[in-house]
Amino acid sequence: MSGEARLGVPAGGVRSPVELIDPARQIDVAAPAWAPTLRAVARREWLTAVRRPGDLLWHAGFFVMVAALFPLSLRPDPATLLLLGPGVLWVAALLAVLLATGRLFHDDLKSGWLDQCVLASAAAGVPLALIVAARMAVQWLLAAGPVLAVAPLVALQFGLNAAALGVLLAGLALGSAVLVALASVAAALAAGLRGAALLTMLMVLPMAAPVLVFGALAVHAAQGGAPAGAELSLLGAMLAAAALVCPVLGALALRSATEA
Amino acid sequence: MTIPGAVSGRGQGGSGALLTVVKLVGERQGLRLWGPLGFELMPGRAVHVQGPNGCGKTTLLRTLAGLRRPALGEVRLPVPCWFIGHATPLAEDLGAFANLRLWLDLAGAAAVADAGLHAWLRHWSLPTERPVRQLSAGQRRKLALAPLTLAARPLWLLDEPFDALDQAGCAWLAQAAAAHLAGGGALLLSSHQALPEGFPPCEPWWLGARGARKAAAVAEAA
Amino acid sequence: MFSRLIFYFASPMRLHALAGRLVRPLLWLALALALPGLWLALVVTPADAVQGEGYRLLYVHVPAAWMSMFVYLLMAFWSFVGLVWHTRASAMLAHALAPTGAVFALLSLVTGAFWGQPMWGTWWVWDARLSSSLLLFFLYLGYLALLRANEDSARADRACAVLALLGAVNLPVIYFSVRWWNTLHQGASLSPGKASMAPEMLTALLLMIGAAWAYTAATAFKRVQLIIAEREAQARWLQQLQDDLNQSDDGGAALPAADLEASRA
Repeated sequence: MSGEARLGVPAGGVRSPVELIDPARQIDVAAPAWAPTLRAVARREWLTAVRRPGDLLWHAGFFVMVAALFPLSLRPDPATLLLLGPGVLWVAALLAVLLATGRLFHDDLKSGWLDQCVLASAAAGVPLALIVAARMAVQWLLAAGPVLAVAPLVALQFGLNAAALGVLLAGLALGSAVLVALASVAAALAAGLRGAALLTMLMVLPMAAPVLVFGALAVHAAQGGAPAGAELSLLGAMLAAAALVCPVLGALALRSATEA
Repeated sequence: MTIPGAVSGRGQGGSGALLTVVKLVGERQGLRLWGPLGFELMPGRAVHVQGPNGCGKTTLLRTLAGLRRPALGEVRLPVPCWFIGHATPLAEDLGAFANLRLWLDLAGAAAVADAGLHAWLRHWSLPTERPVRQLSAGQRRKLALAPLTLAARPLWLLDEPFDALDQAGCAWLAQAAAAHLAGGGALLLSSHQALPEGFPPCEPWWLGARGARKAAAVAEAA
Repeated sequence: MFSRLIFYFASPMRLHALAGRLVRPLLWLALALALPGLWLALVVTPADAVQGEGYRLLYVHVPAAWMSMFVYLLMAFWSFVGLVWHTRASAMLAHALAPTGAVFALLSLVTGAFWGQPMWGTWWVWDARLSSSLLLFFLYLGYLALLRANEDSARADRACAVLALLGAVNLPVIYFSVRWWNTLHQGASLSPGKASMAPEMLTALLLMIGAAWAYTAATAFKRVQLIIAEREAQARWLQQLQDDLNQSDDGGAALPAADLEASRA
């Protein structure tokens, strides 16, 4: 039988295995640039989410609904709303982001895509932490984007003034990134286990408290006319720390998940 | 009785071997599955790992690919390899072309041109844009095996590749495997069924209680 | 020297033996420290001018709160050791410490509630210490839930180690944020009183903390013995096989087949 039966592949597109392992030729297949790998990871996440726009709308809708439950269960007079507004908005945003990130790695573990990611990271020399960071970044856009888009409307319902709204949006942008990072690590730890979504929430909620505290305090301060720079910079510092620590821990968690 | 293939390669420092395994032992939930194993996979060698359900074929393949740490021993994998597992690593909502493109980009084979992917999909009459979840199991299995011919790598580790594959698919895989072996590659696959017609001959390896016993007997004799 | 000690006891068998020898003495030590401590706390020290007799809960609340935090940091330390040096025994120690830490966190919550009730008239006050104890209790619950949910022991060890590290990194942030939140809102605060501590009070407190520490160590060692016994079946054959392989220079056998020659292409 003839050797080279490659179906439909144009000449020059694929090299034979012998060339690949011939040290004299020095053809470097195992270490291309990192960009294609990371771009593939990010694009897959993005394309999959964009094919299901209903999910994105649902994140925003969930946020609006939870925020609406509080005035419904309390006195909706302006003074109470002013008091409740920052806290309610932040809790609703927190829940929406956590819900969105809960099953981040579950399907990929089951389908074997995580195996391919781990193998590709080993072969290409890309640290798995970078792959995880790329996914976290895209997940932030997908989880926080809808919430940030809808936040001004909900803020109107609570009578937030312009300054407070600006601080709310800035705080949400930073805080949701921290939450996505923490929730991604939790999702990686719980991937494939029974009750993964609930387990993720249980693990993340205590660690989400500082974000909630600082974000709500910032909006409270802005409502009263005081500068909120301290709280916002604390959120920024937390984001910097989370961006360094969480991808590494997430990579560890994913490795242990694929080893099982 | 010594096994010629096992002894001759040892001691040469693994030169030219596509996969080297030393004192490998596999376990699951605290029970020993297989081992200790030691072998070298030279170019042109094909191995068919067989055994009853639950004997650890998938565990062996994952350990060889580097996904799973062995209980004892080490695996040396000096060359790039394709590990195609039992599940299909496809995004359900994306089309076949997008899936292949993303997979190849991830695995470091971004150099493969789009035209090649389209030609491959045309050959198998697979729709490029329809979501993969609407394809049949056999079509998805073909998609999962596509990277083997689209981007050549010296070593193939395949876990149950014939699952759900129709006759044309099996014939294609047989042809691709033969070409791969002739070109100096190596192949290790697991399947609980017999190999289909036309597949290049493989050394059969048996896992399970029988294999473990045999391995111990050979170790004593060696 | 210390690292050699750690690696010596990284073998679960040796840890099991060490733990067996230490449990009984530690329990006696806990009792020996707790009795005089309680006597001092309940009998000798005078009642507080403001809070009356109720403040004596301090002698249980403070050790419980401190131990719950200390145990979590210890869990994080062993998790770090286990992740970096791949020792299984350190992960088992962390698993053994977790329930005791959770119990202490819960105890600090309950005693804090009882302590605050006569003063504030309510069963819960949102002060910095109680709120952060609540969050710490949930951190423990998360760790225990993850441990429970994992059936594969290797994955359980690594996953819980990652979670413990993440929680430990978050712990100072949590404390800091809750303190900031509390001072800004000028909420209630539980404290032993403005007067400086009398020496008997300090002694009593130290004795109780010592007793809590000894008790924690005793229960952790007892629990780690149980965990090691559970996983012993694997450890024994693996260790045996490792020794055999190290002695024989055989690189292991290739899996033979009955008709290898005939099937070779």
